[in-house]
Amino acid sequence: MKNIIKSFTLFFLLLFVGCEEGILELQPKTIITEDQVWNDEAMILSLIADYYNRLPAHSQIDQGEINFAAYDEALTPGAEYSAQAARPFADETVNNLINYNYNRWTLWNYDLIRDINLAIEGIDKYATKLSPKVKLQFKSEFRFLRAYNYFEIVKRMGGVPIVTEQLIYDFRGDPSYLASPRNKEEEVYDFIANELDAIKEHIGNETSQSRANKYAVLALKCRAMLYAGSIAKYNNLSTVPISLPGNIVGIPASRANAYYQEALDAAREIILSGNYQLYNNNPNLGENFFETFVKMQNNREVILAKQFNSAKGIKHDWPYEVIPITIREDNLCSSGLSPNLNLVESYEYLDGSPGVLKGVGDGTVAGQANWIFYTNLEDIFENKDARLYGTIIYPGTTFKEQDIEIQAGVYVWNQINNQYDRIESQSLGTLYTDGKILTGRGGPMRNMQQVTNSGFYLRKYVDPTPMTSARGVGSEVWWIRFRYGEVLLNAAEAAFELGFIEEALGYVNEVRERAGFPPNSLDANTLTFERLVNERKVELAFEDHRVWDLARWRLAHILWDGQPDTKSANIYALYPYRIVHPGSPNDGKYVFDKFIAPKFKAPRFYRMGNYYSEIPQNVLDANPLIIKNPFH
Amino acid sequence: MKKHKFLSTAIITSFIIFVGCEFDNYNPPTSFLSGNVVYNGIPVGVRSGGTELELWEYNWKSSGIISPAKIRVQISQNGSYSARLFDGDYKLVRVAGAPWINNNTDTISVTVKGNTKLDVPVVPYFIITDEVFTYDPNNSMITSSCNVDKIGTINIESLTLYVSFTEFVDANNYVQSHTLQGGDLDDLSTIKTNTITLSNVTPYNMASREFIFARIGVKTLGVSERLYTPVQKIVLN
Repeated sequence: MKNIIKSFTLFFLLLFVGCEEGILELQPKTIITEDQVWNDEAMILSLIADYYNRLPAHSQIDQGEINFAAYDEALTPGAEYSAQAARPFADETVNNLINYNYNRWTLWNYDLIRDINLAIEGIDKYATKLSPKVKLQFKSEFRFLRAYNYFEIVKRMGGVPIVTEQLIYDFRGDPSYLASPRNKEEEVYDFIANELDAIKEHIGNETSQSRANKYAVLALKCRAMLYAGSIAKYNNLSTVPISLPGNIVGIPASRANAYYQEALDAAREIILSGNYQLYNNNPNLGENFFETFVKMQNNREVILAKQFNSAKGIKHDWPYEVIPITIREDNLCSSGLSPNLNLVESYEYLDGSPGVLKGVGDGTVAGQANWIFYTNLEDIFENKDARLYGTIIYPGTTFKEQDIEIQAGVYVWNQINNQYDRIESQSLGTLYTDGKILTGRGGPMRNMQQVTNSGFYLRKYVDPTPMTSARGVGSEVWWIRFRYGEVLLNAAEAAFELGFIEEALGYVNEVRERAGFPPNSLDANTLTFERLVNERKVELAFEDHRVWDLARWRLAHILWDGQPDTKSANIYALYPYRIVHPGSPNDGKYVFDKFIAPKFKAPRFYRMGNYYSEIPQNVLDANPLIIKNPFH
Repeated sequence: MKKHKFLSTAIITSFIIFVGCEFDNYNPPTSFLSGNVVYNGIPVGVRSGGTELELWEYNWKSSGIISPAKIRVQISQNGSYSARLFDGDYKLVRVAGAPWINNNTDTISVTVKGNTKLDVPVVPYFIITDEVFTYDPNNSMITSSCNVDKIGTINIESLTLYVSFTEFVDANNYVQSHTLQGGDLDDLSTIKTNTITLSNVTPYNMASREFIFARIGVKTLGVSERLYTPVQKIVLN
């Protein structure tokens, strides 16, 4: 009885108190309502930041770094495995992929698309307190991100279902009404173009380089339309075009010109706006090209970039991973990427002749007959495209004003055999008996981790700020998504394909002039498709373009055919040696040998089934309307 | 009361541990499914690591739910394959991208019980027959000839003789090769049988070798993988 009275009292007390405090109207402190999110600009902005961060990446300075070593730009000498510190280059298997797996580029990130769809619907439904202009701007930015993501998917997978609103399950036991089949590949590209056309005037962010503005929208459209145009053209030019019934992959050749025209129109709009220009702030052209990527002030070349902020802990370890071992500032890692000789030789001489290095042996005695004896290490690279210096640290150059010391060994004259004998050291920074360098502090080494394996180091994107290559400091150099240089090359390619040769020459020559070529270095006779392919290779090296470019031109399976005697499928090294031949005029001079990089064994092999990646099995299981890509 | 509680807890705990152990440790699979990928009963040669079959155990349960997962089975270069499996009913899929006419929607049902043999029939685009390799020590020359039969409708792209120091011979593993492009061949689209001779093949550094291995591969237009003859050992001295 006593208990009953007690609990009644307590109950009424609670009820009474509760009413007074208005407990039923209290706002929960741990739940943010839709209403709150979509009426608060700061919260929407943080969502946008999250979505930018979740955009797919293949090879980037902060994600997927190892993939730079999987194609024909570089290989990796590897790094010691450590469970404590991140080591993207610890996995040396990329040097020796028997072939690319069909799921290597698979992407099916509909989770991001769903989140963006929800955001667009949320703004429409709940944003009552935002001004119509702000609302439209946010919606446009979400649609840009969605279009960007669809482009990343379509370039890997071909046609995919276009989903633009959230799918709601009714819990009746049959979800099949939610399943949609794959759209045609061209429909996805058309969707991207239409979306971008619709938003470009409303997206705002006029002067931003980290959030998309009108010109980032146009740059994305330009790139996407160029891809669509070249797939339409070159897929149908190949001996057996890749296709699926209903053009789910493959675009009819008849659409090529329209796509090229759209790409050109988008590029023209950027160019004619005058808002962007090639970075040209340093009269030293090699340094200037390097600064294009690492100087973030007064850089009018960059249209959209992923930015970092060390102070807030948003940073990356690119310098830690790839800086030459000679000048590393940490006791671990370094030298993750060894750019290869094929790329070095793709940089033309400034007179326009092919960039093949002169007077190079092949490591055999017979090859010594080819040698040119160079007085200085860097002489062999004289008169080359300045972008070589801006992209790659080659023998005889410095980084952060420090000597990298790239020398593989010495060649000593053997009087008995009338030939030079090669001597290489097993450790770095050793001296020969004459007191001069035997093997440099920067290698190269045939079989050592964290030292170049090819004779070259990477310069592009490596932060020159002191201590950025130390763990815990890190770099805040941005990752450029779109830049004016690419837009010019896109424009040149589109104009070339459409037959506007004069216009194409204007664009491509502007890019080449920044690299040190004289004005009008290409003319109507010398401008060819192959020249444009090479121009993109050298200008856009290590910017996540090469593999996608070769795929859209349907060149990948030809250049990377997996055969040991195909030069383009192999990774070559260039090793410098000092001549020891007292009494001879050649004494103290340098010679070079080239051969397949010692750590590289399996020629690159891109199969027909790689052009469109494998659709994940769980997707096929869940949606019977999805059909497999060809050759899978 | 307290003591009882402790006892029963102890008993239940040890029971769970005991049963748990038994539950986790099931025996590994012991049965083999093996055989050859064949055309007209003859194994077809492929690139090692290049082609594969898929096996599905469609009653496979994961957490009590039927959720089949595929098992990838590599085909070795002589056309044989084998997989160690649990007994059960499987479906076998001939994956596309191989040098035979794509048939990846037609599955083969197979019941594995103990060691089971199954030959997987395929229809290649081309087959190579009557291949002959001869070595001419005076000229350090290997000559080969063969017949190429066209079975599908797609044209030939090239025919290549590969020579390797090891038993692994294919488009990724060779020291020297000689290729005849489709245009150099006789018109294979109209005549069914042809003889092709590859000559002037001189494996480098052959003086130090006692034997080498050779194989002929045929490439179909628009198909990455080649079909190969059996590996032939050639004694040089």
